[in-house]
Amino acid sequence: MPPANADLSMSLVESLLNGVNPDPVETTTEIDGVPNGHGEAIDDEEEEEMDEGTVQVRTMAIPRWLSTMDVTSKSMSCIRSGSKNVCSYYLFHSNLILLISTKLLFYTQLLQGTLSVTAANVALLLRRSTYAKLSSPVTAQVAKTPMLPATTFPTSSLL
Amino acid sequence: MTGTDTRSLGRARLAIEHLLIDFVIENSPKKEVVNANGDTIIVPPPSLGRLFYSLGISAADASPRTLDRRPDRTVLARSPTLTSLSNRLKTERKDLDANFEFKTRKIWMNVCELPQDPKTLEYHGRFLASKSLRTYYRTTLKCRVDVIGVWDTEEGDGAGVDDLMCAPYVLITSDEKVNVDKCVTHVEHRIREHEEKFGMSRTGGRRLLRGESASEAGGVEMES
Repeated sequence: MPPANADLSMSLVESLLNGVNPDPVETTTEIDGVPNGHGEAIDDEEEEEMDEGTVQVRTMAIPRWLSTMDVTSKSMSCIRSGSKNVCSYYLFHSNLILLISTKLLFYTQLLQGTLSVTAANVALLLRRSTYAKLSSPVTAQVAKTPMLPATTFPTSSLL
Repeated sequence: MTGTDTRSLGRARLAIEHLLIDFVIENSPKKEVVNANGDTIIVPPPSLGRLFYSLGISAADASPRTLDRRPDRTVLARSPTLTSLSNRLKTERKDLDANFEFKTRKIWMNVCELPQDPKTLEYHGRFLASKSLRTYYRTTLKCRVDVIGVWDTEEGDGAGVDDLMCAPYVLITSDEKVNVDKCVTHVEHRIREHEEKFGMSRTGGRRLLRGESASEAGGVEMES
């Protein structure tokens, strides 16, 4: 049975994929267009320097023809192996991976289990998606989100 | 957050991309051909082109700099003929090292769907690969056009339908974006002619060309 919040999270993800922020917030980074008007992938070295206190959220779509159990299992192992860093990965609806980079403190909370990874938390991050600033009050708000079993958000239940 | 933290997102994306590339390579039959110099070369898995295109679209969509977000647009992506493999795979499969060029050169790329016979469910694409058309692609449009998945496994250029993990497709690549866009328009018109001649259609319908409405195209924009 799909999780109760599947519709909410999917609509947020689809909005993000379509380039529409469902809850626009003030951004701290000026977004410039590529001179020729066509977007390209940004290499690691080209990523902008960000202010302290921001949360980065990126999505990565896996082709549907490739979103098999084998691949998603490998992705999940990648998530676990990546948890030593300040970047975490979450699997969404079997073919969409959410990449989140947070302040070390916030991320440590996730690792220690004091803040469970729930759809509500991730939805909050999505609303403050790429290049949005996460201020201290919002951090507190995230931390107060009712804890749900970790299995309620992308784990084996969605695979 | 520091810039280093931000770059970790890029590294994470690349790590997952490598996982997917490894998956496709490891689950595709290994095929070798002998080139003009008599050297044996491993043929890159035919599904890699579509994977690289999808990854290029996904990476571009993740960038706030991206203005054009059409799902079937031309993007800069890894070249499937210069396959970049992860370090892990290079370590585990040293036999690949001598045959693949481990470079990360990027190239402008687009993918077109092929029409399918509604009765036999067979994909048609050979009409795009005649000798004269190949010359036209190369000399006039300055593009490389690979028709993937319409040949039997033992014929063609190594893109056998049995080796594919995805639907057959046309891969159009060039060093210049404008060349790819021109070639896509040309290929799209050829496919439409073929569809009308044989009463065929494509998954997702016809591609919308520049300045064309959905009703003019007679279909909807396809998913890339």
